[in-house]
Amino acid sequence: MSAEQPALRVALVGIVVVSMFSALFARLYYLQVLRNTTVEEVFGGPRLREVTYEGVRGRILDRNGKVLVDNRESIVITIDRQQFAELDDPEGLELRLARALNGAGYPTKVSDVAARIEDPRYDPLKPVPIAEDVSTELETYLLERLYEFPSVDVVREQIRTYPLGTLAAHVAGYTGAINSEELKAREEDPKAYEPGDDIGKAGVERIFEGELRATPGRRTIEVDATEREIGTRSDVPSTPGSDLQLTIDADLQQHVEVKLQEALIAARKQTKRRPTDPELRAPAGALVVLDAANAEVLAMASYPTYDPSEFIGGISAYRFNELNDPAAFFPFTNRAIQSLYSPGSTFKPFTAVAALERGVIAADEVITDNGSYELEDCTDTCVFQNAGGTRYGKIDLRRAMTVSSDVYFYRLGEQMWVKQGSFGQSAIQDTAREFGLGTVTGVQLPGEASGLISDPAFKKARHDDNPTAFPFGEWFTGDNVNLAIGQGDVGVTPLQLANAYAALANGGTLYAPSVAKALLDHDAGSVRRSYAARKIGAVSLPGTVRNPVIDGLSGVVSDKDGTAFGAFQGFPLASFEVAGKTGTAEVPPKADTAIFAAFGPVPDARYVVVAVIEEAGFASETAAPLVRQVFEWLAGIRPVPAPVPAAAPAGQPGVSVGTAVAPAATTVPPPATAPPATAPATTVAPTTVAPTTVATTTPPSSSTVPPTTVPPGPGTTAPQRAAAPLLLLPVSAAVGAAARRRSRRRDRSAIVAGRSSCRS
Amino acid sequence: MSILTRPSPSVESLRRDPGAPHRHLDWSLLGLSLVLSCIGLAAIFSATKGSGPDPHTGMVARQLLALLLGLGLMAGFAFVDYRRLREWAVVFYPGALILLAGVLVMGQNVKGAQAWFGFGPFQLQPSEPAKLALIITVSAYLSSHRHELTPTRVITALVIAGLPMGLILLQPDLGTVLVFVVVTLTLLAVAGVRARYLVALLVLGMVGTVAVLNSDLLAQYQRDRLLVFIERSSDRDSGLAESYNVDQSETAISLGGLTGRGWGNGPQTQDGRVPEQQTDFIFTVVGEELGFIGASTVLALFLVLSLRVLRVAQLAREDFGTLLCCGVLAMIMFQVFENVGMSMRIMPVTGIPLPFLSYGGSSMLTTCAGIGIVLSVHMHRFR
Repeated sequence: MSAEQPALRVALVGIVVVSMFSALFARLYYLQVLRNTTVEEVFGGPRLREVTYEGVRGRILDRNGKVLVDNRESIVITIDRQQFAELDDPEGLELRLARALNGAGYPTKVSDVAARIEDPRYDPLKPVPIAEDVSTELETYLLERLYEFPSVDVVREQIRTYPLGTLAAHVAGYTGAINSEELKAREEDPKAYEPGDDIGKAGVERIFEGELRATPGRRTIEVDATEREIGTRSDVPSTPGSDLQLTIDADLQQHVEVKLQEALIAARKQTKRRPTDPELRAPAGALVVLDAANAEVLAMASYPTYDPSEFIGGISAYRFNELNDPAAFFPFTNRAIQSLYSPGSTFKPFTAVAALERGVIAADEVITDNGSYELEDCTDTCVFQNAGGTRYGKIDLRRAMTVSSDVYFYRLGEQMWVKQGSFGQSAIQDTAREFGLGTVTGVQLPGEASGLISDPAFKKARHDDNPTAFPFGEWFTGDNVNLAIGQGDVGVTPLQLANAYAALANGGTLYAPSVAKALLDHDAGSVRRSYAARKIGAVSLPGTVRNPVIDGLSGVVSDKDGTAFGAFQGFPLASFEVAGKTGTAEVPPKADTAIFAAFGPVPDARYVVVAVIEEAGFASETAAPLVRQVFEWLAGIRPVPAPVPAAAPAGQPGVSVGTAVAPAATTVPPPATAPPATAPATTVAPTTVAPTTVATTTPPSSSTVPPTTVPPGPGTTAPQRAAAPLLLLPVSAAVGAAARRRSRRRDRSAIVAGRSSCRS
Repeated sequence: MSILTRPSPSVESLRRDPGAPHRHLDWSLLGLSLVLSCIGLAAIFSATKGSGPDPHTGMVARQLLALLLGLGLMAGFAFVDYRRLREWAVVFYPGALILLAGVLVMGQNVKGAQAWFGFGPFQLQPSEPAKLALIITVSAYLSSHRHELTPTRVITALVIAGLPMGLILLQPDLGTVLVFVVVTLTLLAVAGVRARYLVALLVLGMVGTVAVLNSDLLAQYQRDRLLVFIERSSDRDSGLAESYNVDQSETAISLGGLTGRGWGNGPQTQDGRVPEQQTDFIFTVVGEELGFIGASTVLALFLVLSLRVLRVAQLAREDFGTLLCCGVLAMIMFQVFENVGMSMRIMPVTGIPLPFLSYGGSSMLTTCAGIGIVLSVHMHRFR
């Protein structure tokens, strides 16, 4: 090589170039032609993916086919947590997403997005819903720009919708995303679950999960190397779940829920008898309407209630805790089946039945009620008094029931214990249990409380278990005396009480209460399966036993000395005779629980209604008027809309369904093992929130009320039944007030003597 | 020049001044540049449309803009007499040094290299135009001392080349330095430096490379890349993350087979498995989606382009033109060889773009300007 040969040097460069290219060509040929790799080698063979999708969940209907719970499609924006965690700029994504949501009209803070992503309640392996129910415009916008929103996806989901709002929320329940425990329990379920699937969490949504849930669809697709869909191998469409028809009558339920709230508000407005009396906070209540012939639940209300739509797409942890705060009075509790109440005087019919069928007393036997009762063979203070010490004079069983004489039943309670050689140690308890008290009723709702009817064996076992808290293991006569009037260690649910009264009303057949009427083909209405009444027991109720009891209960409503006479003033008893019993149970240190249990029309009673209002005072002034309003509806009497808009018609008070109007704090009904009477007092926050709307029902105008039907005051005769058809009006706070005042304390059981000191 | 082949002049061309530069535009070079650029645009589109690491269809538009600017630049360099570049070297060379020094101070650090100036949405990589400045300056120096290439002059030429190389090593950008080395050696060889000097230089270079590899001058990733190549490790768990790129790239090309997976249908490409598939690893897109037919066509186009440039080098009226052409040829050819070779695991992984094809404005403009210089040498070979 020399400087004189530049052309040669250029040619040498050319040789180098050509050899380099030869190397590249050779390598290329080797890689691509000789050692060609197939996609299968790199990515594996053609792959099948199975995609399951939830079908349409069954609807929930009322007994007349009104839709309580339906479905609709919702567009949900989700974030994949795993992808999100790998982002370089997660804050930037949150900001852009919040901006997009705000731009589309869904006010969202960046912190809201972050909070959702960090919310531990969502399954860590499933995309977190960031925004539910967004517009199709936003869906399109995001789907076109998914590359700007890594880890974000937009999906369409079927969600629950509640056409009648919160109506019957405790019966219907709600759904939510399946959690890991539920998922594990259902691994073998034919309707396979996947994380993120919806499952019934409460109410019939939970109990009838297997029927309501759709059979998931399965689509087998073939995907290529990059997971793109090539074709479909098989596609088994989902089968919708069955529609569930409830025994609930939505119209009645609506009426009942409104009236229950109004009754609570009215109860709070009462003035205390003495300043030292406990506050009448009336924070909660329950009401049950049963069909006496088969124990179908026609209406079941519990207040405070909740909004099941809050659970759509997942309720936030904050909101859930808020609702579970004691200050909210536990709106998720279905008090009709989960809360135990001391039945008070509403227990007396069962004591009466126990005594009559054992021949402890004859129905016509007259005893003298001097206002107090002294135990025989008793060394200490052994005097039990009527409420307020009222003397009722010479009374038989009917009269005792009507005026709610405690003395009469004290005597029965004492005699049954004293003569335990003849009647056994648990005569009253046995009869009460025959009526289904103290055991679960078997209604198709989750979390039912069993209740408690204390007996010597229970008391001993409890004492042996914890001698410090329960110093006495022995069953005293005083315990039996207390039990006879429904006090002491007795706790029943409103549904149990209603079912017991139903057995009394229908002649002694005990059915398991039912909320489910039938399963229907989805959207078709044809019956797939109907639920028949389930007989679970029978009580022997010969006429000699049943008739006097029912007569006495009828007197409670129709006799001028009856404890609910005032509440039913003006009710057309001639055409729709109602029998019932007031109960005002002591729950120290709180105000009394007001209970009214009734059935009608007597003699062939079709309906049983039980109302319970916590911390409400006298049943005759709170629970009984509420039940009267339910019976008005059942008797076909509908509220007449007020002619003048200014007069707020009943049924439309500004009561929002929810927890907002509930007073500040209360205690939960105690668990089954600790009945209300012995429950320790819970700290009670000051009552602050007062309902803003007057909910007292007012007669539309005085001119429509025939003056003759208004009882002028104490000592009047029974209402003129001939005028009853003219009285198709909501009960007035004024009508019969005097009569009620008279009967105010009669059903209240007052125990003067120290319970523990009464030994015989 | 002795082997000049003059076209036989027709009567008409004689009358109209057959030596006029515009009559000798080399359409083949222009055409090859355009065809390669268009294949590049198609490949960039395919690489960025899917779920790849940087899905951004705007890249195609930006690359198209760079191509149009590059064609303008190419025309500018073509119609300017290349001999005037000899004087412009005194501007280009200090300018390049200032830019290279400036980028170390004010530049953006992208993926470990301080190599870019940011101008709003656009970035400039000064080491790209510095390649041309080096070719022009070294060519001018060597051609002006045609027959007196003493050791002192060779060392002077090495110093001229070494200053920008040192600045680029500081970024650090090993790949570009390698281009500079190859270009400088080619120019020295073509200019007529004695063979023994060249051999001595190569030995020195090898010793220097080993020394650098064992020092802390190189970043860890650069050392890893070289080691991957040396150890031929295909085990992803070997701890050398760099082997992943090559594994994926090699697999993609291999998947292409004879006819390819079809444009926009490469499983590796569309899955975004090859990192930097629109820039450094653009050849994998071509290989996987267009197969051996497509990829070898691209290589063939580059080969034809190289031979055309070589032909122009031979036709050049004077040594300066020959050296310019050989410099541009060395620049393009080495980048093609290194880039395609690394995609196929016959060269170590370095961040060198594939001329005309890789996404990147600085590279596109520089390559176009280089071709423009070659065109100018061709057009001004008669006057």
